[in-house]
Amino acid sequence: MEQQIKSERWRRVKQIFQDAIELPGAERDAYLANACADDPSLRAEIESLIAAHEQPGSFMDTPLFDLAEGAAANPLIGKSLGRYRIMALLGRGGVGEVYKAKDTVLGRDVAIKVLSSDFSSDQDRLHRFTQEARAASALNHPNIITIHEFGQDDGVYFIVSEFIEGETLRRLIATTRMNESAVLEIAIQIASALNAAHEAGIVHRDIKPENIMARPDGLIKVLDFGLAKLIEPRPIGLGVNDTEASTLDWGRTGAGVVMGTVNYMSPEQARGLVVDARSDIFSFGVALYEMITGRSPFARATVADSIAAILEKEPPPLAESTSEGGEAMEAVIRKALRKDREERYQTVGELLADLKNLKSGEAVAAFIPVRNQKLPGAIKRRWRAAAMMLAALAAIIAAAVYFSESHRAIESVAVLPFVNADENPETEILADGLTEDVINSLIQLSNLTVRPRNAVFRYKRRDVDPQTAGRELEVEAILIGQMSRRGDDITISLQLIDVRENRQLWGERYQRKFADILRTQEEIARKVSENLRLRLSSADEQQLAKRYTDDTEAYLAYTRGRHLWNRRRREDFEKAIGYFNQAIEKDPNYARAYSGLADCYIAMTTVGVIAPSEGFPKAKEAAKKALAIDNTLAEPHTSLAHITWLHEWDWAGGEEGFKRALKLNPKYETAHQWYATYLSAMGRHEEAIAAIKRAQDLDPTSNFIGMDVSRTYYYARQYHPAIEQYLKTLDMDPSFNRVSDWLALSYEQLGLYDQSIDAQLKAMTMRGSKPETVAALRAAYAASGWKGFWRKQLELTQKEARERYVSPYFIARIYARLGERDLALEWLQKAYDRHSDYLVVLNVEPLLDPLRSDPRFAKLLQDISLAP
Amino acid sequence: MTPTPEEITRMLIAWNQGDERARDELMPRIYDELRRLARAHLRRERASHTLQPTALVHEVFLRLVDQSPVNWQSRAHFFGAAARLMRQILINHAEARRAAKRGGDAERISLSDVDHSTVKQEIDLIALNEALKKLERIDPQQGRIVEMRYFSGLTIEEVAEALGVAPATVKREWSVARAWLRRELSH
Repeated sequence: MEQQIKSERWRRVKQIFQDAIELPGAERDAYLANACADDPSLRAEIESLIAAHEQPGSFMDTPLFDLAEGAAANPLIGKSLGRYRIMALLGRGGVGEVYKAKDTVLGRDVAIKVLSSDFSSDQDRLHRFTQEARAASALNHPNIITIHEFGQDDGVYFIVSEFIEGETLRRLIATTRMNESAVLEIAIQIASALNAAHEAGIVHRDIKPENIMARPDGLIKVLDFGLAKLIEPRPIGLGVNDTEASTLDWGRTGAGVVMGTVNYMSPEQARGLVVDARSDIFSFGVALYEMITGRSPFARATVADSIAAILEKEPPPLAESTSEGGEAMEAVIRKALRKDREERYQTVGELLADLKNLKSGEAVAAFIPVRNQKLPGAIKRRWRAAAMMLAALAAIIAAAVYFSESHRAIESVAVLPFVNADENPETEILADGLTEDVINSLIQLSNLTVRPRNAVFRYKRRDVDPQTAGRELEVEAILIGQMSRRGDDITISLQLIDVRENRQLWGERYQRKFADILRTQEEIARKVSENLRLRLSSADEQQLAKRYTDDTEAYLAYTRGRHLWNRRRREDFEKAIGYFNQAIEKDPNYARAYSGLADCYIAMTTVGVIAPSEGFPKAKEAAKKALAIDNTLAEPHTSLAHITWLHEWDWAGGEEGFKRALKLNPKYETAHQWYATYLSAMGRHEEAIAAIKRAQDLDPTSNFIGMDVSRTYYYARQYHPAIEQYLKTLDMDPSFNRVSDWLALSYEQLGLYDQSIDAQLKAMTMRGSKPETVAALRAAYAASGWKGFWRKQLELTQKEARERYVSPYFIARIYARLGERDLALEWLQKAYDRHSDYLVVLNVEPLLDPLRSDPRFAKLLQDISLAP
Repeated sequence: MTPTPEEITRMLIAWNQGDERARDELMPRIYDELRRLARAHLRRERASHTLQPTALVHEVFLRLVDQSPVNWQSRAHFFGAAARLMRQILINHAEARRAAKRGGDAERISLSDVDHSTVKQEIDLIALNEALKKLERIDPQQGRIVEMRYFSGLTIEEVAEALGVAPATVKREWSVARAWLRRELSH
């Protein structure tokens, strides 16, 4: 009882307080006097709360977390920058903070460096920096971090790069003792990165262990090319004027920034002179020294002392702090650390050569006995000789490992559409067909990821270099080719390129008779797999040797059919069917041609060109024929499975079919995609999401799969991700309107009617609805709201249904929205009578929720054996 | 047996879809991981004693959960649950320190970052916790809101999702709770 009174009072306190703080001061008093007229203690309580509320800046305003991050730090974690969701702070650098983030479009982890406003407010500086960093990111070297994007969101500038799992060289130096050969492993990679950059005319300017990352697999990545331009201090010594450096000043960047970097400065940097590539060599030498000894050669108690040491002092002999590092290593480091840059290695290429010599135990160019140094004692010398032998031995073993590592098999490849070198459009069809067949042969191989047709055909007629394509498609190798035909002679030139190292793995020119095209295709697939150094299983061997027809004309007709089918246009399906039939006529045992027929009929049915009762049986017949000829083809198994559940409502049979297809070819994206729609309808949402994501992994570029991702989330009632995916799909292809339906439905479920209607009307316009129809719908919504809109839509849909096949299911859904339970159920029954395939989602469609309690609905579920 | 990230993710999704059993299975796992990390953190930072509770929660989230299938609602649930655990860990720690100081002052945890903070804020966590307990007796929902906003750094929208109420409600309740706690602590 007492409790009740208390909570009632508290409810009043809250209510009055909340109302009061919304009011301006003058009205507030009157309001309080009125609201608490009967209870002065209530008024006192509320006034004290208001006073607390109005207290300026109390700790409660910022979450514990923000305080921890520091007042100046930004509360970015959990927020989004562009399409990136910020997950965690990784560290702070001279120009800003680095976060781990998720790329919501590509689903991968990235690192984001957010430039602090100090730097981003200077447009000129920003421009020079992005220019240089862009140039560096174009280097595409395995030891240089890959920059994905320079972005800007609401005035915040950021750089998106690959996320590197691993630790900085700084940490590595602090936590592990490295022997000479371990140091060389790292040093050679850093030098290779610098070499590539210097050859492209880019100087790093800020080489230090903090800017070098080591991955657990041993791969080294050099970060932050070009960034140094942002923080480089104004000349501090007896400065020769450097136009570039002098645009920056100490005051703005603050001495703290320089503190961190001074130990790795070259003497010319410390003097404020113009720097060139040789400055990087010096900084690298400092890092190398530190890797060997664990200590920095010029670090002193104060910045001034450190700079003095850089300018004047020779680094202490390695032997003072470690037994690692032989005389040859010492010589290399000393040559990198010469005060006078004319005496240093003149290019990092020379330094790289010496590091490699060290590794292989050969004499180094830097090796000149240093006169000024005391010779080590005899005992030390003997010990050193032993250590050197050990190091050489380790280097040889490491080299062997490294060698086999760099020649390991390539695990992913993309075949770019072969270019038609003639003007003849027939050759084009042939070139496309050949490309597709090579893809199909390779895709069957067990140890290789091959980008599917739809992913690579975006590159058709696009002048793109293999490196860019390789990066975009996330593969290690690219196959490019061109083809021409003169009468009966065809010429095909091919190149297989390792895009990681930009080197050609294989290239060949084939001059063949047209009649030999089938054998040529096999030969190409085999050559490619050989040159990727794949180890083929006997099943793989069989796949490569497999030929689906021996009839060149049948092959040509089939290729034409596929070409049309791939365009997925209503008007092309009919023609594609004609070509597939032609192929079958030439070779009645051509399983793939039957499979093509099945695909066409299914597509025509699902886009509504023909009614299910016509399309599905035809598709089934074709798929069965294909399987009768070749039971190992995943495609017809997939088609058959789809028909089995979608049309025949045989749930168990459908699933079995998908599983069989996926066992035959786990990389067949359509099987995963259609299996996902099945799982979704069965209410197995998690599995459905996993399946559709797998399809998307296999073909990240497919709009149709993207649409089905949205659909899967919709049925799983996860409307936010459904909308997110829609936006991604639209991002890839703004003209793809089919996904808008799922967007509209998702908005509807969230109660966002304005947005839902916008999406629907936009989709209708893109599909070619008359402007007056769209206007009428918009007017109906404006005049009589959500229900008014659907009443108008109902009218229009019923009119349309008199002209062409419209699934009664759609009409049922509209009645459900309008709250017309009886009519909705009546139309669902009609959908059942006409065997509409949409009924398969009866159990999961949110719009039908109001009908679920009705016995007629239960009966319907029973009729299609979907009752739980 | 330790569940894999996939299992944890599945539990999280199941919980988001209303399966309370999944929640019960999940909590101890989150707690263990949070406590482990918090300990490591406190050890590492003993001298300056800087704590980054939300950063810890994020770290645990990243460690435990397979990110790709997780939507933002599930994420909000995770952070909502972690907020209570984080509070527990922080208070336990503060109390242990106080006990160790043989009845000295209540533990004050400095929540500032050496490099960047301009204002050094000191918060008496134990007093805050006492006040929060009192508030919870009057209004349990407000207690949860404070926990999530303050100990886990969730936004209004995320708290709304985790509690299954409208954002406007969270906003209103938060302003009352904040005023109430301020008043309580200024006494």
